[in-house]
Amino acid sequence: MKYIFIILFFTISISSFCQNSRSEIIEYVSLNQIKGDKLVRTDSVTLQINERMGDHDTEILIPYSKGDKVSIGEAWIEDLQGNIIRKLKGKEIKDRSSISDISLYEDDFVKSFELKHNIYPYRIVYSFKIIYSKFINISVLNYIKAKQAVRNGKLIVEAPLNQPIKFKQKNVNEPQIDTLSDIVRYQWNYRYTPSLEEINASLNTSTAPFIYTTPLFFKFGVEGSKESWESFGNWIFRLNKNKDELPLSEQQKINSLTSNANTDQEKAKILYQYLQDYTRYINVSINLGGLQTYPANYVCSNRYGDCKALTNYMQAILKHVGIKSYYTLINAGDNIIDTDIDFPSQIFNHVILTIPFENDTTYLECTSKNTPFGYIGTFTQGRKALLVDENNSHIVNTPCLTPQDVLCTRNLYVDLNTSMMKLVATERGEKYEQTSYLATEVNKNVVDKYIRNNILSGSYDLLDFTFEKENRDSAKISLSVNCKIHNLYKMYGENLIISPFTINMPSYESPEKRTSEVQLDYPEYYKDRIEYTLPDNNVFQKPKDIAIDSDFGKYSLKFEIKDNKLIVNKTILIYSGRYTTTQYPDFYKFIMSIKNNEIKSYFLELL
Amino acid sequence: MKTPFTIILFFLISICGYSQAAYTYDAGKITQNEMSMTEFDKDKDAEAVVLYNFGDYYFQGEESRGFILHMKRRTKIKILKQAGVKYADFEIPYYIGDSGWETIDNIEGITYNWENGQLTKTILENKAIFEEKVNDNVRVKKIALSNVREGSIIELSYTISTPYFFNMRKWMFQEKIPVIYSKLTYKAIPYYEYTYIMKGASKLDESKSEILSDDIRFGQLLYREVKFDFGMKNIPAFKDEEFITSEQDYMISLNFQLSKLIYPGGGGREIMTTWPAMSEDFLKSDDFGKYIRNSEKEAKKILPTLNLTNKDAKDQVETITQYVKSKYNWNGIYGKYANVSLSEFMKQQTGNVGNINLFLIGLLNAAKIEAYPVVLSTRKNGAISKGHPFQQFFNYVIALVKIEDNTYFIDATEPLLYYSNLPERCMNVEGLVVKPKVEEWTIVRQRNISVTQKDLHLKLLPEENKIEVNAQFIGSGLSAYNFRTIHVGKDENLSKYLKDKNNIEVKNDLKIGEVDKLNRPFSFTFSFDTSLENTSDKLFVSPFCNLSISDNPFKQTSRSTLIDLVYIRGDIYKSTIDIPDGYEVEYSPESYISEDELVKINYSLVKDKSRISIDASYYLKKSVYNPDDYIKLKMSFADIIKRFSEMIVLVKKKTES
Repeated sequence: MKYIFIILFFTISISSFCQNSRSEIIEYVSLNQIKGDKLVRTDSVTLQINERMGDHDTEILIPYSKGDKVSIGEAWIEDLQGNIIRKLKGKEIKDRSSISDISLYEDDFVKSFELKHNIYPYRIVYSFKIIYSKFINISVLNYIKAKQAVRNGKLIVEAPLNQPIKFKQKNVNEPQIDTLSDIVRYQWNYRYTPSLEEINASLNTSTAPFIYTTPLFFKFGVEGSKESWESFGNWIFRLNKNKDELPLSEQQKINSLTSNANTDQEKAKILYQYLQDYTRYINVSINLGGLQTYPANYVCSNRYGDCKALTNYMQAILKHVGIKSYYTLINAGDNIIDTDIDFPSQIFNHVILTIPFENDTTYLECTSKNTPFGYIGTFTQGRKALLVDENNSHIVNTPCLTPQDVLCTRNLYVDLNTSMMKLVATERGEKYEQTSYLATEVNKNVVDKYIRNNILSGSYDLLDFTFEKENRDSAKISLSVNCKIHNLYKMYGENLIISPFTINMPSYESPEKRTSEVQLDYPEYYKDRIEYTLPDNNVFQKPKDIAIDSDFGKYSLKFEIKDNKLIVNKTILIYSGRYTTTQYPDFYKFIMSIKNNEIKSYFLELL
Repeated sequence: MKTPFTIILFFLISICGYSQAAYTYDAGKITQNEMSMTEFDKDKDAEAVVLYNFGDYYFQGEESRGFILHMKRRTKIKILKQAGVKYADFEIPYYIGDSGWETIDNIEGITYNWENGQLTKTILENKAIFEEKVNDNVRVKKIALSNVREGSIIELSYTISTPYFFNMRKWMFQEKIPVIYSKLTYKAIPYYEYTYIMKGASKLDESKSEILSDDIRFGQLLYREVKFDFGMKNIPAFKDEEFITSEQDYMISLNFQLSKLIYPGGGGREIMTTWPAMSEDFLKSDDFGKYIRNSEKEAKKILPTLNLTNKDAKDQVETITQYVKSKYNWNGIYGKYANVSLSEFMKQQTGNVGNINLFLIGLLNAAKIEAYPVVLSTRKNGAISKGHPFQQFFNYVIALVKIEDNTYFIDATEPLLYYSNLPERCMNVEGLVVKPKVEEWTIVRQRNISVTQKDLHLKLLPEENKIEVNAQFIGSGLSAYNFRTIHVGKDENLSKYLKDKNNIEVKNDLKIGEVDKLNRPFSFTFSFDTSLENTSDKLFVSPFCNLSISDNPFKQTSRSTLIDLVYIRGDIYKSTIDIPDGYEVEYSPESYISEDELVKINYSLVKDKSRISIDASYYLKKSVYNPDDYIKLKMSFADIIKRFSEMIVLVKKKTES
């Protein structure tokens, strides 16, 4: 019951996120003091709930990890005159594990409490203190995509003179810096007003406050420095050193697998496929687990691991056959967040492996069970990464996906007489990643829904479908579907009107409303060929062709009538790119012209 | 002649550790067939198959703690596809309460693989078992077996021990993957009597009992156990279907309810009761009946402030319900009992369902309105079994109000719903009306249907290839609630909704009708442009601008369970099209009416020289349909979609000579 409720609650809060004024932070003061090898953070908060919907924001969550000490100070509800209405009781504070969806276990926890009142507006005032037993950053304050306004935010960092820190900020003024006897005190003031979430909004040009403070020298497992990428990479190297030992049985297995391979490329590919076939992704993160890898023999005995463990293991088995490879940190995700190369720091959330074959640097995604050797997906393409080497760590660029890499084609054979349709769709890029996951990972029931939502919309009976994958070296997957379409066409006197097979474009905001810049990290490319077998042997006049060519991409729709068939050839290409709000009206016009042409029925006239 | 053959056979077995049978139910053993199977012949899509699932429930006396209930489970699963690997991850919740803790012991896991012509076994290590703290009372053991991949066989066993006899775990015969054999053995002792409630199936393949002959001594007690075996074979995978109340109602399981305590010295205490006696208990309880009566006392202070004197009974009910809704917040927690005391509830102005609705009943009673509590089990919680009067099945309470001959169901937890409208969670379920000494059941249904009406006025501008549309949407009943939850005080939320759902770019003129009156339909008007499809001399007009229903909600090819649509619903579409000068109608759809016991469809078109008016609507006549009606419903919807999306063709008038 409780689970059901939590999920429900979550959905409500998401759908009403845009209610930015339902609650707001009146004041948020965060004091962060470095005291020896510990970091002491003391936060005092005044949160105002403006309306009934704002009650969804009254649950206060304080995350921490095992080893940290948390104490929650007094907390109460007050009205706008400052009259205290109710105080929080100690027994109302709850404590539970906080394990992310991708993990089996993490030693992270959260303390939580809730204070509600029913006369609006009211304020929740609370404070808490956390003593971190280890830390790699001091405070990273990032309001990009945040939903709550902050009227008066203050971030204070106090560091002893002999423990220098470095910092950067965006959309926030330079800090006030005071030196008090033996400590340096930095203070930033900021405020924030949330804006509506927009489609493909660039995070890099967001106007939300961002402050990053980090020690120049630190100890997290082992001592390290963030003076340069070289020194930071060296720290990662030492943290993960000597974790590449393989049990004898594993060594023999590796030897026998690679005994017939001639080149290093062949060997690496065999071993990568061995990794894919025999291991799975399970994340167990304890102690230094966020940054330190499990040893290779952990993967040998369990046949599972997280990105770090699997990458480290892959590196170890490559090393065993004499192939040099590099552990490579990257910030994976949908949106590329530009790396500030002048500010070495821990900004990564994922690890891949780089093999510097001559003239052919290869990147391996070690958590994927089904993508080909060397495939760089949408989550890691086209961005900077930190290649870790003992004394020569440096920033590298992963390759960008080209239009050919993401081309999705559909061949449709539609018989208007029988309403039967055969579809052969070949997916690449993001859709390939999703579809090949579906083809192997998910129950067949789910696939039905996926096809309806992502590949073929409209009203039809799905009769059968099959996935076809040429071989494991090609980054594409095909799907054949047979279905019976409802309401495919209608004759109106001498006009035949046929429903199109629309490719859906996102509903971008109109230019008057749009506030953020557009960032498209990789292109989109679609080609459809639709063959309609027409009723009877009438001769029809075909619709007009359409061709649009712009700075943002291309669209073309061509019709041909041949042997009682209407053949439609469609191409949509949307380039990757970043567009300012000045360019946005033209971009919007381009997308809308595709969108409008895509939903239009085809009109054929009887001659 | 016989000897060498035996030797060879023996040799094979000892090398492989294999049995030659299709399946083996022995712990720590597998068969050749289990290892080599690549699909399950009875369900070729199955990503994994449960080879067996054995349970052993028994009581054991402990010196310090008395009797403890032990529930041992042992299961073996063959992973057939990559998608089945997730069945090697287990989560076992257990409870830590004030009067003792549950434990999970003897967790043993084995993964079997066939590698290089050899059988390998990987044993689950203790350090790979983790414990998640869900809250102060609930922990979850989390286990991911090692070395699992397509083709692996996994085996897991563990024992849950509990001092909470109410908490005897139900036995799930059915799972989301096929099960070849599932069997539960339960050894009863003479002191605790349970009632068994079967769900999802009417009978078991195997069901027997015997009295065991060993005498067992525990302290002063001397007793014999009675052994029950419950078994099922070849249970198909449970497939999700849309429009059902709760999986719990359909998945085959055996539930246990502690029904009686029998004291060794003679006598006993009934836990299973009768429905009238249960009602009595509710009315006596501090957190139910007494809470209502206390609320009645508080009402003396509250009611005078609500100006009830000149109102009729129905208006009084509305006023009181609105008062509770606006002043008290639901904390999201269900429950038939009040969670906190009345004074605490009134101070915090927040409470669970019991707090809010029992308080409401108290206020209504104080205003001399006939109101009773109805306890029920929400849709997701599963249906009530009438043969088994157990309080535990109920998880919710609402008010039943009688005004003259009319009955109203009221739930004051959702502020955006009109006072007499129920949230979906308590609709189409059976509830027990709590009255002294009688057993009275009621089916909680919503009278109001949920209707969305879309009125459109189309102005065609052939020269500009566009249509200017003025639109009004009106939501009634649940549809009004849905619009209100989208709107929540901000017009741009509706514009965004129209853009996302219908690709409509609203001109900045969206206006809301009466928002504050929850009893009124929710209406709003707006205008937008859409493109006009045309050829040289013809205009093709979709009268409803693609806003009529376009997606058939019924997608399955067959149906086995009741189709529960929650409430009666329908859509109304109206369109007025001004015919531009110089054009006349070449084609317009015929009017049409169809009505059967399932659906009513109406499409009526009127035209003259200057305009065309269309009224189209459909109503689903019931909120719950039989599985047999599925295909008919699906066809009706295909018909509705087709008819309502038909175009009108206008043609340029031939210049009269």
